[in-house]
Amino acid sequence: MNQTTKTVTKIKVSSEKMNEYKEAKIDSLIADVAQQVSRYATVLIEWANRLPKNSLIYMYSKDVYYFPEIVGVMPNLENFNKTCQCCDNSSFNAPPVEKMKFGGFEGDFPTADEAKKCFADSGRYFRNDNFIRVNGTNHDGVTCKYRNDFACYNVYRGGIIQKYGNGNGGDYGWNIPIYRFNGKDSSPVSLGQSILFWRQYDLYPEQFEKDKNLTSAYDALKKYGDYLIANEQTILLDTSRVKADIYSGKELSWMPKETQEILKTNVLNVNKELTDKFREKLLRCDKQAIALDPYDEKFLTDPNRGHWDLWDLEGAEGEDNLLIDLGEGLTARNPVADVSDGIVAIDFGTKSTVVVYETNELQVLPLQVGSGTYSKGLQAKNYENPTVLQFIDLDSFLAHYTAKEGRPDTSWDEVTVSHNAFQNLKDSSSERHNTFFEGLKQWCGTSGQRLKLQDAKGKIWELPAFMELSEQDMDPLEIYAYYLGRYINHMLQGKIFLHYVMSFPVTYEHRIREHMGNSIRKGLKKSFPTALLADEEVMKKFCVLEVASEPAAYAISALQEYNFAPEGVEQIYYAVFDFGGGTTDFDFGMFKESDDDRYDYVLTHFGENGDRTLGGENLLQLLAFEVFRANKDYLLNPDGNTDGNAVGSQIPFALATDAKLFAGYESLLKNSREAQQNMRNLMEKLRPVWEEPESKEAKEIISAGQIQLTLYRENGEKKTDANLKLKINQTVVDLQAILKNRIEQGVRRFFTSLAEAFDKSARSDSRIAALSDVKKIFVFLAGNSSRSTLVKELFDEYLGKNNSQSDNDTAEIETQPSQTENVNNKDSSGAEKKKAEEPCEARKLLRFGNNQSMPEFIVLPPLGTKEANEIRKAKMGDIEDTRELMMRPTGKTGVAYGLLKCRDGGEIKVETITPDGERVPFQYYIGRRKKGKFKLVIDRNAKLKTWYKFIDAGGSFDILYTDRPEAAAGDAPMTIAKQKHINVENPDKTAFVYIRPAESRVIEYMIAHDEAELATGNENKCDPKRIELE
Amino acid sequence: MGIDEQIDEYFNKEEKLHRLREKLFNLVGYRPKSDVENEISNLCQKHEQRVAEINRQHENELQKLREWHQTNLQQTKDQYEAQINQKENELAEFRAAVNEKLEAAERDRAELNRWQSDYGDFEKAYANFSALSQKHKDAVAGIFGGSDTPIDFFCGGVQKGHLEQLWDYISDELNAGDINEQEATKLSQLFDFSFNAVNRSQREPLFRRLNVNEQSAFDLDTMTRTSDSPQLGQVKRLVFAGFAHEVTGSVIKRSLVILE
Repeated sequence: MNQTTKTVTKIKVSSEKMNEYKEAKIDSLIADVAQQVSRYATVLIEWANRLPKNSLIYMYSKDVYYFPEIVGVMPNLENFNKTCQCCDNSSFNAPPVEKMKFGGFEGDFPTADEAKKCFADSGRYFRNDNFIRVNGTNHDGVTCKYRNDFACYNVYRGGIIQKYGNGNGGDYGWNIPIYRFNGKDSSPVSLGQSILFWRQYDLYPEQFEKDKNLTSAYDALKKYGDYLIANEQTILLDTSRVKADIYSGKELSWMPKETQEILKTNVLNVNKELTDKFREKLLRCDKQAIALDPYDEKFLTDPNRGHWDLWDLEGAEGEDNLLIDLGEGLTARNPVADVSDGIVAIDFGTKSTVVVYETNELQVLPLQVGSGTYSKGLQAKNYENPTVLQFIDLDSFLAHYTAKEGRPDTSWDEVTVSHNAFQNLKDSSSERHNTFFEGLKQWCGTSGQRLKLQDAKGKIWELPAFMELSEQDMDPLEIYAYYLGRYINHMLQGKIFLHYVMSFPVTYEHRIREHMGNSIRKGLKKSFPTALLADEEVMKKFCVLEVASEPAAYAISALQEYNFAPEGVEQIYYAVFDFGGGTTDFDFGMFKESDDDRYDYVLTHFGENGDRTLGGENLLQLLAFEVFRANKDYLLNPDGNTDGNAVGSQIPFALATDAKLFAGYESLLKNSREAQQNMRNLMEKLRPVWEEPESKEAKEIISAGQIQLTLYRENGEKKTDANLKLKINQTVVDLQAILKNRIEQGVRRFFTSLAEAFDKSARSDSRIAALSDVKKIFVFLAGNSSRSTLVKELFDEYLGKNNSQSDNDTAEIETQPSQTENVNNKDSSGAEKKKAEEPCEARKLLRFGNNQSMPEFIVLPPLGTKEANEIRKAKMGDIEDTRELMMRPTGKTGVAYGLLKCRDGGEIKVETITPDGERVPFQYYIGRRKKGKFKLVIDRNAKLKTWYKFIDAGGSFDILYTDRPEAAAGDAPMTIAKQKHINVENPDKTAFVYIRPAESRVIEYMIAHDEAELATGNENKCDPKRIELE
Repeated sequence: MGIDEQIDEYFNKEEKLHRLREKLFNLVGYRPKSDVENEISNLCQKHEQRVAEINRQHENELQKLREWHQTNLQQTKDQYEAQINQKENELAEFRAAVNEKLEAAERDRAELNRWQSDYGDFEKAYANFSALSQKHKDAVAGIFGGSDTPIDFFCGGVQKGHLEQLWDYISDELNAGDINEQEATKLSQLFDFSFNAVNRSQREPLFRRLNVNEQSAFDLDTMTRTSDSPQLGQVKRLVFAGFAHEVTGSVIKRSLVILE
């Protein structure tokens, strides 16, 4: 059994870290010595500060006086062995050298300035009225050097300079030497520097004789020699030089003996300060990385707890390891001991990501990501984690990220994700929006979409499309997964998960899903402790698996929550309408008891489709766009200027998904920051209309018919009194109608796709009944946007149900009898029990005649809603649901819960039927325009690499393409499609253009006379030309 | 003897004197001590006699002065007593007048207090608004729907519907950081006025401010960072308090804080 914890006192460090610690320790030792020097210096400086300015200081040790004005000394003139010279002597007779020596100094004559500084003051001890008294004798002046000659500085005659020979008979000049510490005519120096000079020349001021403190401090500084420097205020140790000399190997007797040992040793004892810093770093490691609450002290002291990062840091002496001896034991924890057998399911969504995990005890719990404090308790919103990244300092992040294999020292101040990033995005000004990355999932799935990211430091990162990323490129998906991993695997919850299941959009090709899986795998792995990564046996268990599509996973949750339990040959047909923040996905399948003993049930998924732009946020965008569009005249001239000078003051806005351009859009529709910000501002104002239409705010907006908000002009200025109206002249912007209209398109597509899925599958696979043979289909509404009442209303409308009928649905959730029973129950006319059904739109879309029996559709509300709970309660009868609210799947979290059920080892087997089981099917309908309609040529169910004759090659042509299922009906307007225009270089009326689907979003075309030529190649040997559709 | 010669002679004498002095100074003990002492003694004696004489004279003079002052003092005292009586009478009259004025002032102050409590806040808020730079004035006027007159300002300022927009505007300006301290204070006070006015316009307050203590931990639910704050850290300073619904506590605007 693996050892769980151990006590660690010595830890391995890299050579860089060791050097850092050594340097810190040496700095600490030097600082101690510097402090000592400072104490001595303070004593001396305080004494020196009390002396009268410019007073002479008698140095008893050498019987000299120190003159601050000249930064030098002069002999005590009361004891000096005197010589003098008459001023009018024609030449100067230099005294013998011995006469110029004093106190061990070899003196020199002062300059004229120096003489003046020393002798001009009549208060000095050697001054006697206008005479200078030396050893009891008085004369008029002193000898000085004046230019290149010797002269007399004549005090009696008012300080004039008389060259010897030009002086007055009877005037005499003394020969008094000085000794300079700081050069000729020096400026005064600081007190500290003066003291250092005295120290250098072993001079002791007379005051020191009586004051032992001064003498001690003075003597103590002696040993530091020329490592002392002075500034204006005090004396300091030259720490830089000391450090440099220590590092060069010099022994300094006054530094602690261990100083040189520190540099040589491989095992460094660190002091308490460094140990405390190290402990603090360990306890705050996840606070720093992901803003998790810091770990408490007990993590490092309690033998039953311990820290993962310490486990493989332990080092032993005698090896080549560089070790830090902490001096105290810290508890390390073996991360392998915390590996859980539980499984984590990740629903990586467009707008938000949900993570749930199943424990060993088969409990399923949601996981909070991106909000690191658990001290506020459970909050439901924290389990839907916005799929947003914010880049603050990418260079620093990547440096840290790549420095360690596992649990690197990245910082929340470098890159932040989820709730924190999302809030920052909402709060940030438009200039900073480029530092946020919201469309991670879309970017992964869009081929050719390059990326330009900017961090808050202003650095720009240009990335290729997701599928073109190299190993060296930064991978935002990997980074997001790394953060997910850090939130899943940390010491607060004390578990590490190795088994992950995920879903990916069904519309993404296999290679894209594989690439995404790899990125996520790398990111999750990066969140593991290094000690775990080093254990190859354990790491073999690490896996990230794709188990089902998102809607299929949701279907599983819904089927279980609504307690569907088919037995024997019973079949339950279902359809999922997953209406999320960005897209809407449809999924169709059949649920029955499994024949395989390993599983309880099998879910046969036989169709999927979707509306790629129908999402909550896109609807809000559309509302905002329509309101702006209706107010375009106002936006062009918001101040009502009549002078025609409104340039720069217009209020721009951005194009919304699904919006149509309008005449004159060029002056208002922009992609600028201001335009984007204006869209955001109006979307926020309109949010209650979409999310809470019954709320007071929503009703106020509609009844008032106007919205006041702050908008930005094109020139960046704010207009705080912008007023947008919902009724301009006779035109009313009916917000609810816009929403309903758009959602209705999605509902239409849903029914069309359903028909197509049944049609395709029933023909190719006998497991799936024909639509006409199905009695009931359960429609599961999923996604947060499905909570809108408009969705249920539209479904009811399309299904021809009034309110009471739709209420009855919820009471009748019975399973579908088997196909066999169905056939036996049919009467001779082939219709089971013909009902006189009222005609409804769904009937038309599903291509049922008025008298044909259509399956009954039971629309079930999103999980977690009040309605869903009531249905559940009615179904469960007396069986009480003991789960906590937050542990029950909802319309959003249901996907993640469902993933856990359909993994290997789960209860439900998922089978998928597609035309080409290995690949994502072709995504488009290809056609031509014919009399204003979309004429279908290639169905999206077409097999890849199969040629279809398209048009003659007599001239250029247009290819229409769309993913909308109504294209299959044959009577859809051509405006449902986009077009590609193809030029034919060498038109040939006898030849034809052939087109084939090559990949899920790629077609190829060739010109040939017949299909045989396609196979063998024409005389020009042209290759098929490739066209990418988007 | 000419003047020049006289001058030369003078300087020569001076020179000689100087030399003599030099020689004198250089002679040890050139002045006898006894001479000096005698002289000193004589001087002292004379000095004492003189001092005694002066003291006698001084005493006589003092006596005369005393008598003279006594007489003068009495006269002065009588005069002053008469003046004091007069002044006391005047003072009494003056006090009566002052009391009357004080009562009038008290009445005025009561009136002023009433005015202050009723309209003082408004006056101050309007003064703050008027003192704003044109840019901010225009922006606030835009939010209030016009502030050409104090009434317009008041009507706009007490609207609940303007609070969020006003808060957003002020928060954006404070966060952008290019606003001087005075303007920042005025804008904050303007919001305080509007906020309090909205609350006072209801029977029970609708909202409460979200005040934040320094050094408290950052809370994503009730706070937002300034754009130059780090992601991690504690609250260094509250820049602009947000507000929440009083009853439910649901946060409407999160407080803007600087982290360190």
